[in-house]
Order: sequence, then structure tokens, then C-alpha cells
Amino acid sequence: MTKEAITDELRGLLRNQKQIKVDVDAITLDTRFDQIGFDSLSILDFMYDVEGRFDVFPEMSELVKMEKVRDLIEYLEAQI
Amino acid sequence: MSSRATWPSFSLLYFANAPAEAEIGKFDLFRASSRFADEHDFEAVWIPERHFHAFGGIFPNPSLMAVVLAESTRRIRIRAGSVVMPLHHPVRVAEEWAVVDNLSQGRVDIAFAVGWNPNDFIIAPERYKGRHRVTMEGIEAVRRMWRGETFEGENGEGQRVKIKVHPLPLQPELNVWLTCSGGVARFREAGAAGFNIITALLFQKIDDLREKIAAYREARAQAGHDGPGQVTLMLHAYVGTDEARVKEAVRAPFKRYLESSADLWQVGEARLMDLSERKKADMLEFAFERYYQQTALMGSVESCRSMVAAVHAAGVDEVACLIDFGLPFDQIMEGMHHLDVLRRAQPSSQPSTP
Repeated sequence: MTKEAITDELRGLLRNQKQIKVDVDAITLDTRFDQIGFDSLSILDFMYDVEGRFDVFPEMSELVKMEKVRDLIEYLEAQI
Repeated sequence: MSSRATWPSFSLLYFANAPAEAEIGKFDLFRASSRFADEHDFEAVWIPERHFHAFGGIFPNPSLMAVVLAESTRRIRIRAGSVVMPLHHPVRVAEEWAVVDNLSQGRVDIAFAVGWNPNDFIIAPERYKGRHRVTMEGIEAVRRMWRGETFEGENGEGQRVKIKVHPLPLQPELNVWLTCSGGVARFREAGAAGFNIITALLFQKIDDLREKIAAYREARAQAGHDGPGQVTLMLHAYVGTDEARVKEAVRAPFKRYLESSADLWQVGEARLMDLSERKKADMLEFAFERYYQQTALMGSVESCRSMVAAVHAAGVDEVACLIDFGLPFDQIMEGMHHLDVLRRAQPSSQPSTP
């Protein structure tokens, strides 16, 4: 799966999140998850959706390190 | 102008998570670790005030345990961290701590807090709404009484009378900290008033703290106060010989501690209780990892050195180590030796100075 395809899938999943503070189309690779509006609970909700789509869930020790959208995409690229 | 030390001082701070049930030895760790700190050149022991909850609940009034420290230690500073000002009459604060100052040969400092938990205010419900104003007025009243000045209030017959507290403390001036746990406004207020500050990282990043400390020091300088003030940072701390072993040792007790303190989080306890088992477990694991990696002083001496250096670079002068989050007594006391090694360490590479 290409980076672009993963990015498109994530955009779709983001549109379903309730706590989004920003326009999903304006989110870039360098957007931080806290800028999107995620807190520690809603980031888990989002990650459950990501798991539902890609069938992978990062170790919490890795998830904590993911600050930007780019970090998640690189993780998914490596896993699928 | 005084220059900052190259490494922060280290202190101990307590917030024991203990059930209310009667049990022998509830204060054993407090006694043993504070003696260790006294004998090993730690700067201070901070005693909290907490009410009606297992989280910190063995410390309902810091002046009580301060008496124990005054008698059992010889040189370490004895600090209230914090006196929740609206829950006390300023006269009682001045009296109680003047006694401790005498008992300890002048080793008392006090951090004052505004208070935040509505249930704590069952002690003084009428002061909850105006608790911020009550706190600032109370601090000034305590400081005046500390200097031997009079306090004017209403007596039992409705008459205005002036009193002086007895005994007078040994120290001519009370060193005051303000507990700053929220936004930058409180930091600026503490700076403008010339107070020192005690704060915690909790869920904020070190960069956020750096900005708040800068705002504190700017407000302090603008108000014309001497010196940079002292910034104390509470960090949950356990230091061992092996980083991986430390992480596994603290994982379960720290997660229990986080679960118990859930109503102090951004996420309310009721909300946490409502979660599915998986989500609750994931939430606690996520919180643990975030604390462990970003906001705690846990690991080996070597791995903790960078955390100490980072908070020092952000402007922190004193690291107050919260040690009683749930590890067994013997393990904590063993960790004290490694904490002392870290205390005596220096930055591994000093930035070059032109």
C-alpha cells in the first residue's frame, strides 16, 4: 500500500472522529495529533478505527512517541 | 546577579496512595526516607495537604508531619507543599508553622495553594467561590504575622481586635512558594508577587513549562523583585541500576496509582469507570508510557540524567521527587541510594561557554 493510499484511508477515518477541531482536508503530514484535537481517550478511539481498517495496533510505548500524522503513516507503511 | 547552579537541587515529596483502614506503619516510609534525605544533603522535604481520598490522604495537614520532621531531622528544609490556604484560618497557619519553625531551628518554608477539589471545601464551603482572593489575602496575613505584626479580626462579641501570634518564628521572613498547576496566569501572578513556585509536569510538555517559567521570571523582574526566584518541579521518581528493570518494576504500581488518582486527571474518574475493560487497560498503559517516557524521573542514573538536564534547562532549580506512588518500602529505600547518585551527578556534557 502506498503512502498516498494510507493517507487517504486515514483521512476517511479522521472524518468519522467526533473530536476533530480542524478541517480534515487541511491536515498534513506535519500536523500534530493534539492540533487535530485528540486527547488521550480520543486518540485511542481513533487508533481502534485504524486497527479495524489495517489490522495493526502499535505498542503503547510506540504510540506515545507518535506526535504527528507522519509518524503514524510511517508506522503503518512499515507494518502492512 | 546570582548565576544558576549547573544542576538542580533534589528534594523529596509525598503523595502516598493509602487506604483509610487502620494499619501499622503508614508513616514508616515518610520517616525513613526523610531521614535519608536529611543525611544525604537533599534540599527539602515537601509535605502535602490532601483530604478525603486514598490519594495523598494520610497527609490531611502538613504541619502535623512537619513536627515529626522537626524532631527527626537536623538540617533539611521542611516545606509545606502545600497549605491549601482557604481551608485554614491564617492565624492558625501562622501559629502552627511558627511552632514548627522553633522546633526545627528555623527550617520552615511554605507553599500555598488555592485548592481545587470542591469536596475539600466541606471544611470551609463559604470560601470556595472566592478561594483565589482568600488565598492571596491569607498569604499576606501569614507573612505579616510571621514578622510579628498584628492581625486584625472580629472577636466572639463582634468587636474588631488586633492580635499577635505566639510563639514568634525564628526566621524573620517566611519563604513563600505558590503552587502553580494551571495556566500561565498563575505563574505570572507568582512572579509579580515575588513568590517562589512549585509546579508539576503532569500532562504538559517540558517546552510548555519552559514558557511558563520564562513568564514567571519576566513578571518577577518587571515587578522589581531581587533574584530569579526558585522554581520547584515535582516529578514522580524511582531510580535503579537497570533501565529496563526499573520500567517493569514501576509499571504495575504506577498504573494502580494512576487509576486511583483518576479524578485528578484530565479524564474524570466517572468517565474512566465507564470505559470498556480493553479501553480502560489501554488508557492506563498509554498514560503510564507517557508519564514514564516524558514526565517522570524513572530509570537508571544514566537514563534519568537527560531528564534532569532538560528540566534544569527549562528553568527548574529544584526537583521534588515524589517517591511513594506504590513501590514496596525496601525497593523505594534502595532506590534512594541511586537517586542520591543522580542528585550528585552533573550534566554529562556541559554546553560550551564562549
